[in-house]
Amino acid sequence: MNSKSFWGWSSTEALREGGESGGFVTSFLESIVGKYDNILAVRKTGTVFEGAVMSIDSKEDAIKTQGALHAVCMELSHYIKKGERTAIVLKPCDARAVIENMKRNHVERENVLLIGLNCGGTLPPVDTMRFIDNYFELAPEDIVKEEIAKGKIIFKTTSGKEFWKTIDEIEEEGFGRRENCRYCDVKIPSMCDIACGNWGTPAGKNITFVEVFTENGNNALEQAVREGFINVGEPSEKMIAVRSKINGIMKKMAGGWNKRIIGRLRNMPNEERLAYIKNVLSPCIACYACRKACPVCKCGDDCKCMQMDPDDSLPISIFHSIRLLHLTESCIGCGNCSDVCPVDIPLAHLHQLFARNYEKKTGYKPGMSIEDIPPLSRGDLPEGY
Amino acid sequence: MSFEPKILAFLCNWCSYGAADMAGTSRLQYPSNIRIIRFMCSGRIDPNFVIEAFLRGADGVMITGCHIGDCHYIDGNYKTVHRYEFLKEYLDTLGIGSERLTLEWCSAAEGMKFSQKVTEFTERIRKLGPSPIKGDEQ
Amino acid sequence: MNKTAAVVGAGISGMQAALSLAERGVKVYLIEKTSSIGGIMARLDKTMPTLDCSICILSPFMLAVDRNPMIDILTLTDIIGAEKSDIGYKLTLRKRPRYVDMDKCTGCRDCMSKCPKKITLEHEEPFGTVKAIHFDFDQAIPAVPYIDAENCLMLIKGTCGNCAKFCDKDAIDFEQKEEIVPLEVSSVILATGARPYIPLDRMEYGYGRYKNVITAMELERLLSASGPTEGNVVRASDGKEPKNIAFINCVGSRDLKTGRGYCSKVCCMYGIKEALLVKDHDPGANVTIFYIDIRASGKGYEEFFQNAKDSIRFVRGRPGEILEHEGNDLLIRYENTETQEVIEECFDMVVLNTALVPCEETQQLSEMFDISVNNYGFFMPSKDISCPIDTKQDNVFVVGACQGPNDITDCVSQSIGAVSKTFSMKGDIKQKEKRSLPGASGKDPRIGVFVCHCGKNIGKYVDVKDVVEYAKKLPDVVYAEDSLFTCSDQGQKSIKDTIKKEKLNRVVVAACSPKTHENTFQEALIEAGLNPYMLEMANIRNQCSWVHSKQYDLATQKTKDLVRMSVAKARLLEPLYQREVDVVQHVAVIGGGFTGMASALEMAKNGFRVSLIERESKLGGKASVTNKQKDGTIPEELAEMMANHLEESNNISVFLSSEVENVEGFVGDFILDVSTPNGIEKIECGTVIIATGFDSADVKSSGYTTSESVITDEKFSSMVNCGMLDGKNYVFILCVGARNEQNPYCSKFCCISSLNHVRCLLEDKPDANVTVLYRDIRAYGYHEDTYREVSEKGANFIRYSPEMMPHIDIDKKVVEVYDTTSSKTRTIEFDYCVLERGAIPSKGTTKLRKLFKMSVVSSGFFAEAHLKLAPLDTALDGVFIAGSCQYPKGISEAITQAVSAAGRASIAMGGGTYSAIPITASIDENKCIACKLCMDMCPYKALQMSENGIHMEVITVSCKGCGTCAAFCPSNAITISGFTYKQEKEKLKAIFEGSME
Repeated sequence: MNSKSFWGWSSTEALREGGESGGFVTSFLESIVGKYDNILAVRKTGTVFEGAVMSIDSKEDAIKTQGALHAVCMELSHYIKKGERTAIVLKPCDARAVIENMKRNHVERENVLLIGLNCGGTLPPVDTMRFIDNYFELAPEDIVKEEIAKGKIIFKTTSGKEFWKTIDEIEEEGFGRRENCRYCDVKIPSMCDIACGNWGTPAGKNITFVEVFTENGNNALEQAVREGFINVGEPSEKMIAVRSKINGIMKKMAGGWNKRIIGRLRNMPNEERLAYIKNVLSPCIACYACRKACPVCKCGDDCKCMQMDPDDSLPISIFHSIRLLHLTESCIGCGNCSDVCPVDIPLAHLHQLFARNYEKKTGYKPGMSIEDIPPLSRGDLPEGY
Repeated sequence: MSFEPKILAFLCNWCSYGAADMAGTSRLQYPSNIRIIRFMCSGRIDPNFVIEAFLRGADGVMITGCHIGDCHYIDGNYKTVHRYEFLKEYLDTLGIGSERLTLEWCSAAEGMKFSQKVTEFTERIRKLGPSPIKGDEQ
Repeated sequence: MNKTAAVVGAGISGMQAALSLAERGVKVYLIEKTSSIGGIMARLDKTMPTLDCSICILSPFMLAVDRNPMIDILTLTDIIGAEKSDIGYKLTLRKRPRYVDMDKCTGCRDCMSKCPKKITLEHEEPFGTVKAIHFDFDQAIPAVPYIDAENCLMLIKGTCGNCAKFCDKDAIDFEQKEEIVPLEVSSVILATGARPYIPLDRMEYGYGRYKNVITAMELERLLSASGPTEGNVVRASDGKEPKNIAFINCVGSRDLKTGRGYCSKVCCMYGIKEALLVKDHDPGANVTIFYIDIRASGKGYEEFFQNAKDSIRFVRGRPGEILEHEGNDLLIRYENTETQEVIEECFDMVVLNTALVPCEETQQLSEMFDISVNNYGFFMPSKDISCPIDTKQDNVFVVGACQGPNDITDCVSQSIGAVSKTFSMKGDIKQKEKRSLPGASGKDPRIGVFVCHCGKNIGKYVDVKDVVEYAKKLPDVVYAEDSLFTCSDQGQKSIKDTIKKEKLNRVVVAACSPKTHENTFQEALIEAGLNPYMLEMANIRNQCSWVHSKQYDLATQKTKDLVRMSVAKARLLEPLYQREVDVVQHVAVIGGGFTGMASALEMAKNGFRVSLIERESKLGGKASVTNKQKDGTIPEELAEMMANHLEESNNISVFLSSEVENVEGFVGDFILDVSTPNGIEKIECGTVIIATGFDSADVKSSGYTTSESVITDEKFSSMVNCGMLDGKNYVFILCVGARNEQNPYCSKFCCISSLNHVRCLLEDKPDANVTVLYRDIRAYGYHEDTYREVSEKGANFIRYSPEMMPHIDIDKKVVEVYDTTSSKTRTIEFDYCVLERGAIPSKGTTKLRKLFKMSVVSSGFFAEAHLKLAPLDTALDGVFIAGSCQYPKGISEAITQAVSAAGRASIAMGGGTYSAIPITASIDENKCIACKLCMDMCPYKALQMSENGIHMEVITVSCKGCGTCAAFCPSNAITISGFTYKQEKEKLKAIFEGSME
C-alpha cells in the first residue's frame, strides 16, 4: 500500500500529558495488549541512562514504557522469537536488523508488528553522563528528560530547567551521538508497519506524527482508534512538509558525517586504507564479542569466519576479513560491534565502509525491505555478461 | 631477484579445467607462476577462498568457468558472476585492489585462450608488484 | 540369454544409444568406421540455437562412453556381413589396423611431432595439416592416434619409421593387419548418420574451382578453436579475413536436379548459427544469407532467427550463379524475390549451406539386413507415423540422420527410443552388478606418492627423482616412487602392491589429468581394497611439464608445489560410497494423447506398472481432429487401437477425467494426489512421464473471428473426416496466433498439418481451388515432398507479410492479401477460409509446472535438462517430458519422444535402485541456521527445509554435487564430499607453505 500519514495522540488525558509527544505509542501499545504473544519495548529502570527490555502483558506495563530514551542503546531484534507473534517498538537500525533476519528466515514477516520510532541518533550513556557533568555540572539523577530537537540536545532537570547545546557543538567536542548514529541516513523507519515521531507536529500540542506503511499497521491503527485508545487527525500539508524538511536536514547532517568518517577512509589511497584497516584491527584480542553483539549474524560457533588455524599469522585475521566480507551485504550500521569491543576497535565504520561501497556499486541497501534480494542471491545474469 | 608473482586459479571441472588440459596437450607455454585448484563448478568458489588466498600470500587470483550458457550445472556460473562483482568491490574497499582478481570463461576447446589469459594476468600482476596486504612480511 | 546389441556408427546417435543401453546393463558393441567416436558433432564449433560449445558438451559424453565397462568401442571397423541367427544377428566385422597399440599408447603425441608426412583432414583443406599419424580431432576417443596407411612413408615405401623410433612406449606396430571378426548380437541399432554433401556437381557455384567458395562444414572447422586455423576465419586465396560473406541455403537440397527433393532440415539453422559466429569473430563483417524459406521450426529456433535479423542480412532468393571477379572475389547474381530485382553483388567469401546426404554404406547395410531405403537413399522406417524407428526386421532399428536429416535433439530422441525398444524385446537384461566399494583403512593417514615420468613427457622437463625425494619428506607420506608410466599395467600393479605392502590408505598420483585418468587409478585402488575416493591426482603434465617445458627448474619447483598441494588434500580424504535409492516399480504418465498412450504402452512392455492420467473423459487427445496421414495412417484409428491395447494390458490403470492435484517425494518415490471421479487417488510411483501436449492459440491474437465459413483447423479436419466439405474455393491462412507478438515462437507442426489438410482436400476434391497464405513454408525434411505434391496438384501459395495480415471479409467471403512475391494485393473468394493456428502450452502444462516446480522456457513449454543432449530429462531426476509439452511437434516425432521418455524412465527404474553420484552436499544439522540462503541457489531444487523447520536437508538423490550451496552457506554447515571446505583450504594453504620462488 501507499503510506498514509496521521497525527495521533492518546485518548487518555494523563497519558497525553505524560507520554512523549502525546502518548501515542503508549496508548497504541495498550490497544494491542493481549493480541500478541509478545509485546516488547524499552522501559526506564532508573535514570534516563538506564533501561531494560520489557515484555508488555497489561495496560499497566504499557504505561511503564513512557518516555524517550536516547541514551539507552539497546538492540532489540535479538528478542524476537521465531514462531511467536510479536509486536515490537524499534528504532530504524533495529528494524533494519529485523528485516535482515526476515530475509534469513529467522523472523516471519506475518508474525510481527513493527512499531518504528523516528531516530535522530542515540547517545552513549557513559560519555553523555561525563558530558553533563563537565559542561552543566549535572548528575544523572538530576535529569528527568533528554531530547534531540531543532539541532540541539536538550536536558530537562528535576527543577524544570532546560540545559542544551547544539549537536554540532557537542559533537565537535567529542561528545554527543554515537559515531554510527551521526552518519546513519535512515531516520524514519519506513520498513516498519508504522513509524512514529514528533517531526511535523505543531509545537506544544502533544501530538505524534504517524506514518503507516502496511495493511497490517493500518488495521492495528484503525482498531486502536475504534476501541478508543487513540485519536487521530489529518496532518496539515504544511506540517507534512515540515517533517520531511527535518528528515532532510538530519540526512544532510548524516551526509556530512558520512563524508568525514566513511569518506575519509574511502578517499585514502588503497595502500593507506589497507594499512589503516590492518592497524586498526591489530589490537583485536579475539574475544568475538562483536560477532555475538551483531544483530544480523546468527551463525553457530563453527561458522566460516571462525575457520582460523591456531598457528596462523596473517596480515588480517580470517575472522575479521570474513566478517567484513559477509557483512558487506548485510551490515545495517547499528554500531553494536564498536560498542562492545573491549579494545575500542571502531568496527562499525569499517563494516559500513564496505557495505556503503557495495551499496554505491549495486544500489542494494540492507534492511530496507524484504523484497530487496541481495545481489549475491539473485539468480539472474547481470548486465555485461 | 625480480618479483615473481604468486597466482592462484580456481577452475571448474568441466570447461576451464578442460581448457587447461588442452593448453597442455597443445604444449602452449605460459608462465609457471600459477597454481590451480579444481572445483566441480565455478559456483562452488566460496569468496572466502579468494580472500584467504590473498591473506596467505597470493598476488593475484584467477577464477575461470564455463561460458555463460554452457554451465554443466545449468547456471552455476551466473552465481559466479555476482560473486566476482562482489569480490571486486570488497578487494577495492580493503585496498588490495580489484585488478588482482580476474574472471575468465574458457571452454574445453579453448586451450589457447586459457594460456593467453594466464599469460596476460601474470604480466598484469607482475606489473602491479607484490600484493600490498603482504606488506613488510615479504 | 542376455541381450547384447550392436550399435553401428558412433556419432551422437550411436553414442547416445550405446550409453543408454549400457546404463541399463545391456552389453554394447559400438562399431565405428573412423578412428574415433564423436561423429559430426565433435567437429562442430557450436550447436544451435543455444550456441553451446559443441565439444564441451560432447567431450564428457565421449569419456562416459569410453569408461563404461558395458561398452566395447570398435573403431576403424566395418560390418561386411550379417545373417539372422537364433538370438538375432551374426555379424562379420572387418577391423582395419590402427598401427598403434591401444594398450601401450599414452596419447603423448610425441610421434606426431616427429612424423614428416603432412596430410589434410576432410573439411579442413587447404588449411589444416596434421601428420600421417594423427588424431582426427584433438579430443578423439580412444585417445590413441592412428596411422593413415595411404600416407605413411613406412607403410608405403618402408622408409622413415620415425614415430616408432621416438615412441617411449613402443606402441607403434607396423605389423598390424586387417582382421575379420565374427560377432553375434541380439539386436542392431543402425546409427550410421549422414554426411555433408560436397557440392561439386553444382557447377554454377564453382565449388572446387573458386578458392573462396567453401562449404558450411569447412567454415565450421575454421570457426572451431581446435580447428585448423584455431578459430580464425580466413580466405583460402590470400589468408585474409573476409569482410563481406554470403551464405547460400539449400545447396543440394530441395533440388530435384541433383535428385534430392527433400529439405535437409538443419541447414537454415546451422547457416544462421555460423553467420552469427562469423559476426561474433569479426563484428565489422557484413554477412548475408540467401534463402528460399527460413525453416526455423524447432525449439528456440524462431527466436534465434529473429534475433539474428539484427546483425545478419537475409535476402530471399536463390542465387543463379557465382563468378570469380577481380581476382578471387566472388560475384553473385540473384533475383531478390521480395523486390523482383535482379542484382549482382560482390563478396569476399561464399559459404554453401549444403545438404546432408546418406553415407556410402547405407545401401550396403540395407541389403545386408534386408531393410528398406527411401528414394533419397536414407533408411526408411516401416511406418512414418506409428513406428518411426522400427524396420521390417524386429530387432533392427534405424535412428538419427541415417533415416534422413535430423538435428541433434531428434537424433537423441530416436536413439533412446530404439534403446527402449531393445529393452522390451525378448532376452534378459543382466542385472546391474551392485558393487560395494571398499572403505577406509586405518585411522592415521599413510600416503603413497606415485610420480609419473610419462615417458619423456614429464621426465624430460622436470627432475622427477628430486620430486620423489621431496615428496618423501611431506607430512604423512610413507612412500614415494617414480615410474616411467604410472598408468601402465606395471605402474598400476606397483600402486596396488604398495598399498598392501606399506598399508597405504591414501594415494597421490602425480601424472596427468584426472579428467582422463582418475578412473584408471580409482580402479587400481578398488582392486587393492581401498576406497576409490582416497585418490588425489596432481596434474603435473598438462599443467606443468608440457606448458613450462623450457623452464626446467621452475617446472620442477612447481611440480613439488602441486605434489605438496595434493598431499595436503589427501591427508583429509574420506571414503565415499555410491548412493542407492529404492525405486517404486510404477510409473505415472500424465496426459492421454498419442504421446502419453505411447509412453504408457512402452513402459508396460518394459515390465513396469503404469498409471495413465488424463484430464478429459476420453483418451486420444487431438486424434479425432487430425486427418489421414501421408503414410496412410488414420490418426483416429491409431488412437483407438492404442487405447484398446491400454485397456487390454494388465499392467496399466487408466484414470480418465482425472488431474494431478499435489506432488510429493522425489525420484524413486513420488506420491501424486490425483483427483478422479471417485475421489482422490494416491499414486505412488518411481518416475513420472509428462505428456500434456498443447492447446491451440486463440485466433483473436491475429485479429480474426470464426464463423460458418471461417473455420479453425480443427473444425476443418473434423469436416474432412466426416466428409462434410461442400465448397469449391478454399483459403488457408497459416501462422494464425503464431510467430506474432503474443506467441513469438514457431509451432513447427502447423505448416505440416496444413499441407496435410490441403493434400487430403485435393484427394477428396481434385477440382477445388486452394490458396495457401503463408509466411515461410516450413516443410522440413521429407515434408518438402508433400509441399511439392500439393503445388503440382494446383494449390496456389501466396506469401504474405506479418505487417499486413490477410484481411477476411466474412460477409463477402473474400480474403484480401498483399502478395509479397508479386507486390500486388489480391482478392480471393472462398467458401471456406481455414485458420491454421499455432500451439500454446496446455492447461495441464501450466498446472503441473507449479506442482513439480519445473522450469519452462519463454514460450511456456517445459524446459528440458539440455536441449541437445537430454531433451527428455528435466532438472528434476525421475521426471521426464515427451511430445508437445516439450515443444509443439507432429505425431511421429511425439511418438518417438514418447518411446524415448519411456526408455529414460526404464533406465532410471531398471534394477529397482537408482544410483546417484557420490559427490554430493550434506548438511550438518547442528551448524545449519535454517537461513535458506542455499535453497534458492540450488539449480536442482535438492535442498528443502526439515519438517521441524529448524534446519535444511539435502535431497541427496537430486543433488549433483556442484557445490553452489556450500559457497553460499555462511555458517559452514554444508559439506561437499570430495571437495570439502577443509580439504580445499588445506590445499590452498599448501600453495603458500612451500617456497614458491
